[in-house]
Amino acid sequence: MKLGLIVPSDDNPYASTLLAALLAAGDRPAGVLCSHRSALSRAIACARTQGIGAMLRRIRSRYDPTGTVKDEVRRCLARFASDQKLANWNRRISATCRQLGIPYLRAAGVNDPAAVAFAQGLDLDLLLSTAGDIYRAGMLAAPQIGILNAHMALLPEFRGMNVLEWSVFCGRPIGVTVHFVAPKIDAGDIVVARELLIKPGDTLATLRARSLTLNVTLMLEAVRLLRADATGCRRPGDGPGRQYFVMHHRLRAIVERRVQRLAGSYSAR
Amino acid sequence: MSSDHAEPRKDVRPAGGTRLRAIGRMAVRSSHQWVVLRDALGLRERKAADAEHLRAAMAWLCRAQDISGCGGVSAGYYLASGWLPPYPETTGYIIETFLRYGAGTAHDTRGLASPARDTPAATGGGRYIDRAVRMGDWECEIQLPDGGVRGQIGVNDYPIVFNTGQVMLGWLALHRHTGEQRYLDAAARAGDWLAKIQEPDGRWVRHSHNGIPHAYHARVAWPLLELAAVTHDARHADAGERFTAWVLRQVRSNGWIGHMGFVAEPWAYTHTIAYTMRGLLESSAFLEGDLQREARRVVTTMAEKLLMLFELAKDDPRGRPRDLPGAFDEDWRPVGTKATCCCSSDTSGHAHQQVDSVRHHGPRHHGPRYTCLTGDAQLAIVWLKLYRLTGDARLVNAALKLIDQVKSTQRLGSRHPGIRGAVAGSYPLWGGYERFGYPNWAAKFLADAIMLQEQVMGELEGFA
Repeated sequence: MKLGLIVPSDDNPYASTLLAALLAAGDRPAGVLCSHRSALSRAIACARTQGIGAMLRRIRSRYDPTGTVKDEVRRCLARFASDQKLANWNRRISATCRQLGIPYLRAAGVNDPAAVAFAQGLDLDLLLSTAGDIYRAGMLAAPQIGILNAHMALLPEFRGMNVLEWSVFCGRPIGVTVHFVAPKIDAGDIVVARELLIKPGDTLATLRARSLTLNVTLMLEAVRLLRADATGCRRPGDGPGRQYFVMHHRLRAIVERRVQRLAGSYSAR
Repeated sequence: MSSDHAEPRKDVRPAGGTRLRAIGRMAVRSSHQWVVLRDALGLRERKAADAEHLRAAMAWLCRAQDISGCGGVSAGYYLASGWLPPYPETTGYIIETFLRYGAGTAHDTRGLASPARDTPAATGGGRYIDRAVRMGDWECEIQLPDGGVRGQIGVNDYPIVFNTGQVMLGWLALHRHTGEQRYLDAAARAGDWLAKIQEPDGRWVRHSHNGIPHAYHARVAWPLLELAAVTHDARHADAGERFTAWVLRQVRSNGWIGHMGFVAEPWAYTHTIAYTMRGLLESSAFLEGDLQREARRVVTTMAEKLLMLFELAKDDPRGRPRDLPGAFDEDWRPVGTKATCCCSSDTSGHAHQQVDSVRHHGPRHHGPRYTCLTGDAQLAIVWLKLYRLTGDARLVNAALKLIDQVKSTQRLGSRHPGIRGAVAGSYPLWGGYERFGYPNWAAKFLADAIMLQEQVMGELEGFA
């Protein structure tokens, strides 16, 4: 099975860990597509469509002075990589590709004509997506079997954005689902899903980080299942459920308190 | 101007002379230049605590009442014309805002509803309730002998259906709060008049804005049903139910309701869309059986549609939504304003004769983008209220974002008393709705939205 990988940036720790895990499992990707636009081009696009004020607000909102979430993600992935004995999990993806001779393309977006041509040229069976972009028909049709995405909630109940937080908010089980990307958001066939349990001491940041390691595990499992039986492991993903959107910070604060309360009650048991 | 108090103003953009006056005033007043420049650059205001925004809006409403000198609340502050005369319709529904805020100051535990600092008369909740009583008394004084409420801004000699319903809401709120019979009597006289002029099929055409039926008269059915719940007068209940049944017959398969706009063309500002939704939702509390279920289903469908239109309009899936367009057409496509004059489509009649000097304008689909701030605040209220019915937390989430967007346009630091704490009709100021103006109903609905938001968030945070 010929695999390709789509990454959101060259130094994304989740994407580089997945690449390292694929290589460790003997699944060398036929190509890697980086859909990263430079900060300058994103800022210009934002200023053009929404004004200078919106651009300044966006830059400010992206800046994480404490680095809490990113640090937690790196810590968690480092532990995972150590347990799995993954080499170069924290290395720039382009450097790994260069070293191993894997074709690597940096494009302005996943639907950029150059990106679509790159994916088509590789004659792929399966694309693994670590970018949260919306895929259009051209890219969706590029791989033979389809594009796999790891979603941070149990589908089909929670589609869309910030679904880990929404699952906690609604008092539902949290978990990860690996599914095929379809024109309707998060409604493609489901390949594999697993619940994630809240542990003592968990916070929202640690849950998100642990969820990323589960993403990697389930992506590898999905590839294995599809290799064994490309159709038998699929079940419909377009069931009853709602599409959720970016959570407002006040609701997120409620979720944070709920996670800590749940984590506290588990540790008390 | 037109026959309907708030309504005629709301769909009118300044004529050439008015625009020139606005430009002239902007050229000499630095506070005017500054607000226009900020909007031109897309700069938003620094967001403060909700309590600050609420206090500022209430202080502005107090100034708008004081400036009129009669108990009524000035229709608003406009860059071209300054403070306008009092507006009977909106003064009517502002009463409830003051009562709620006043009650909040008496029982406030969240620091939300403390008195406006820059209002000399404000020394506690009682002051706001006194103000609400003055508003209600003024409305009683100017009520027409037949029971109707005067149309348009100022004190005019013709009644308008919509205005009558909005003032009834204020009188009913005052009756609930004070227990005084005169407010209930005034509301009952208004209800009698509305029942008398209603068409056999349930809609109102006579004494209606532009002489055409409007779906947003659901906000007239609501006080009629509320009145009937107090007086047990079957005529009022029947009038409310018949209108609700008429509106539900206007619902299309895509969730759009016909006649939601000010004019006959199939488009509407979010202001009147939210009026319609709120009217149906509130009416449903007094209805039973199929009518109640259908009214709630229709509002839920529209709320979901607008939620998607709001949340999905963003450049970055992880980013904030763009401003909600200020108007939509019957296919839920965003609408700009002013392409063709639509006066010819108005039905002739009493109301039309009074609006013939007003130029109405049809939609165009690719006009400049703007958002209708009062519509945004009203929609947030509908989402929050609907959340309590459905438990769909996405509605609270969207309401919080939409209220944030409105707050980010409210100038808290301006030295100009007409601008400080006010909420504009449109963002940017030159958008298609209430151009270069700060109408009183925008501040009212923002204040209502913040108070309701804090109630809902208090429940959620307590549960967390």
